[in-house]
Amino acid sequence: MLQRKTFLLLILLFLLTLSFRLYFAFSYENFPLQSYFHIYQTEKIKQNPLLTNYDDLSYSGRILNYPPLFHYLLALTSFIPNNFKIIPALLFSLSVIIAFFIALRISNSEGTSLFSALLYAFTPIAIKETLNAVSVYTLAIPLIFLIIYLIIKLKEKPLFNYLILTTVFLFFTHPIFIFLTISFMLYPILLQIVNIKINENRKEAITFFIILSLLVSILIFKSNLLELGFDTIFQNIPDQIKQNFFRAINPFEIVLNIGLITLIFGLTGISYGLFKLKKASIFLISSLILSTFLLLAFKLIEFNLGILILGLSLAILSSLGIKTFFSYISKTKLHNFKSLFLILIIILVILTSIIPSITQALSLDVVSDKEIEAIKFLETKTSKLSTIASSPIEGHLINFAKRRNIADTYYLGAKDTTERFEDLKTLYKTEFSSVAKQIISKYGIDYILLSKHGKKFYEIKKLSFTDKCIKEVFKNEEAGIYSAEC
Amino acid sequence: MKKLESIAQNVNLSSKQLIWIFSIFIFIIFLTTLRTINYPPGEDSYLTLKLINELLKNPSVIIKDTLSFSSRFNPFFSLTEILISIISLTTKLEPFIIAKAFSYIFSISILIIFILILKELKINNKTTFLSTIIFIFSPAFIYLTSTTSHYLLPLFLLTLIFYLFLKSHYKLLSFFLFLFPLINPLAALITILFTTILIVTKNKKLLYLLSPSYLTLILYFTYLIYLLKFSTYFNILQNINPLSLIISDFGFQPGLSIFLLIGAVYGLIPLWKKVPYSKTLYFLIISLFILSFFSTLALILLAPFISILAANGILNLHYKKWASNGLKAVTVAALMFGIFLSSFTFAFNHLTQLPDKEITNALTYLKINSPESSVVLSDPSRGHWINYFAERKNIADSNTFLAPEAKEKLEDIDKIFQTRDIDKFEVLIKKYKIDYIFIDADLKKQLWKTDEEGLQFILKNNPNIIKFYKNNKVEIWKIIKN
Repeated sequence: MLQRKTFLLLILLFLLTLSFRLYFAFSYENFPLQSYFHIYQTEKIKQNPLLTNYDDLSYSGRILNYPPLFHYLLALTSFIPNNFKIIPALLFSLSVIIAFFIALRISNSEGTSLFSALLYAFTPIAIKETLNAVSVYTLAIPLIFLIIYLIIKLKEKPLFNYLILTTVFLFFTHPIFIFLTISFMLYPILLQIVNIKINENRKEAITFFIILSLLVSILIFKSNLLELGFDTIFQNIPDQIKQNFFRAINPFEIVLNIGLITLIFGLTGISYGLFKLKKASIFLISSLILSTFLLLAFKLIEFNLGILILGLSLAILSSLGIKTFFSYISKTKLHNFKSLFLILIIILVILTSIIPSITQALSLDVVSDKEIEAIKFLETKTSKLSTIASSPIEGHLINFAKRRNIADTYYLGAKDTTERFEDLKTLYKTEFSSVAKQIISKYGIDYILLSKHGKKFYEIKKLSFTDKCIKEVFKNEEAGIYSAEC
Repeated sequence: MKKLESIAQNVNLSSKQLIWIFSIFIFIIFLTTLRTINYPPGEDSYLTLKLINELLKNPSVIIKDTLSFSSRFNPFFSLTEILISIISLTTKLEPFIIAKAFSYIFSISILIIFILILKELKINNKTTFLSTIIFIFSPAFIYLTSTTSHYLLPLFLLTLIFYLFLKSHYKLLSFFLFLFPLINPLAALITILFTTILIVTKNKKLLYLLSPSYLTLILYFTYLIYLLKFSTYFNILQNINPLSLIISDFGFQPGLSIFLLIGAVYGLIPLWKKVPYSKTLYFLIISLFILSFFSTLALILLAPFISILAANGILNLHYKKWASNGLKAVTVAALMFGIFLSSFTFAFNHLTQLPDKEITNALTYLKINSPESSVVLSDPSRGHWINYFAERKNIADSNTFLAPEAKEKLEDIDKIFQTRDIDKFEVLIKKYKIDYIFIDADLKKQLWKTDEEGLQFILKNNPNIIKFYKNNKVEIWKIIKN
């Protein structure tokens, strides 16, 4: 049982996280571009709850295999005003509680676990990726950590039914569960290395998870696997931008996105837990860190996603690092300065985690009102059968306006992503109207959207070609729409 | 010994189990007949069929194949093909029908020997039954029954030799091992090495029985060294992507199912203690697994062993006491379902592979309407089809082992496909004396996006090339020579 003080502090931390997230979320009118994929999918479910895997707007019609639980959850909660802002913030804030309980299992210290839950809540990369974002990770990550917690608890209590339920939820949320599959494959190997016998209940749970997760991934991504083979892991991302998604580890970027204190105490926690304590539960979260790190090192996962999981896992393990640090201090002549060290650490947390988090929260890249105005124009003033050209990052926004796009950023299962990416780049950058007209006719483009985000993406100020067939039909300070009438 | 005796209980399959096995085998045979054309899917079968056809016309093909790579030394002795052509000559039956009958006869023989081996290894009847079912459903077995592949006989011989060893029929074993290098040298090398270890473990004095096989192997490798004079180095390690190369779920044909591998991992450890010659068997399995990344043959030879391990793994999971019965039921069911799902996905993809009617029609037209000495350019994956259906020379095919200038030819084919430079194109056409260009719809889709790219541009704009044949899916272009 938790002490009353700890319980209250935990609730306070939950409320603080939620308030922080809601405060900043409501300070923005709109969402980041990627969020519109989830908003569009949710709207589709609201119109027709029996979802099919064919999307007639994305890539002007394509098969779209995406686990739908997050979208169903958003559709079910659509009676709540501003649910796209509230639900993700609530889900992430709840995961802080899960992080606290895992940290408590690992370190057996309520104080340091609260501290690590604080680091978890204010991990800069988590703010960047999930604040004011309709992000599927706000559901997938709590589920991942809940599964880890349940597996840790299995040693004492047979919580198999909860485990099955959580696992099924995760499978229907995001393919991120493959991280957990890989880490569960590593877990028994790590235990074998240090001669620790794996607990039978955990062994059964892990076997169940590995086999079922592989079956589910093959069922969901069967066509992609057969078409792309092992390269499915690269999500069919166009060759031109693959390097940005799957890039090498940069230590400076890691420190900046995870936070210095989280990194130092997280790594201390790992080394102490693995080499000194040799506690099986620590190996469980360490195998998640190791598998993520290996995938990042071999450039097999999206960089930001890898850093996000790494950062949150290290934040949880930092409870052990902090506990180790203070118990070491108390054994030395410095034990009188314990409070001083605590203050110093708090200052460092503020400097390396909380301030960067606030900075991130203040500088989110969201769609502007002027851009939304252009999108509303497309939705209301153009034919429902229109095909709109935009940069791929704005593709979901076009679908949100219920119009067909040429390309968007959900590449897996889409056709000719590299070619479409290149053609759009040529359309926006070419000086020759004949080249532009060839692309317009190839994809049957009716309108071209040029917004603030598109200009930044293609590093242009305006369309480089002119032609009597291309007429400006909408314009404001940040966006323009051109009709292709020939 | 007592332990072995206790395991030996219930080693015989019941008649009900045998009926099940036979029915499933018939079902797989039925599946393979669902193709839209009579001809087998993929490329491998056509190497065998082409060699049989050529043998009937000109037995010197045993040494020199004049169609593959526009003429090359044959690196194999092609005993299977010789046997089929002799039967065809004596019975006057179509070689293709005999080859097909061979694949069914050897498939069922492999299955019978497989069951007999499990019996000899004292493996209980539940494991034997499940192993056999999994083996029949494995992509490798489906592949063998649906093609006239040259991989079939090596698998038959490997299983037969192991069975003869278990039954202590050493003289017969020695005879088959002696013949083996004439059928497939790589499989022979693996089997001879494996049998040597088995015999050393059992009785070193019997080792002399293997000397004839060593002799044929040495003679064969001497021949290979001689052939090296006529071929250039070809790097088989290029473009290796380990998982894609062996996992059928990632599209590799005929790979291993990922669920079969997981089951095998769970079956690997407990089986160590139960089975005689386990260390040698483990050595063989691990060697074959590593070799599988480089050779499809090794992958096929591995299939029966992986099936036994997977069956053992599934039964271990099933009979072990779990804290949650629900979890156990879901896990075992998911594993079984995964294995069968992979098999059906593989079967569907494999059986719908090219060639189709349009391709066979086009190549038959080419055979009738072109001079016998013509050289046909296409992608190497179409090389065996050109040799078999059109009976014309290709520039390259997928049998690159010890082929003359293989690397250079593959690079030049790529250059012809990608260039828009007519002069460069003409030089390469002259270099290989190309008369026809064969392009099918799949190839077109794979190589070019528009008619303005590479060879498509040249075909459209070069007056020295005319369209020779066209149907819904195939185009054959003729090069007009001055």
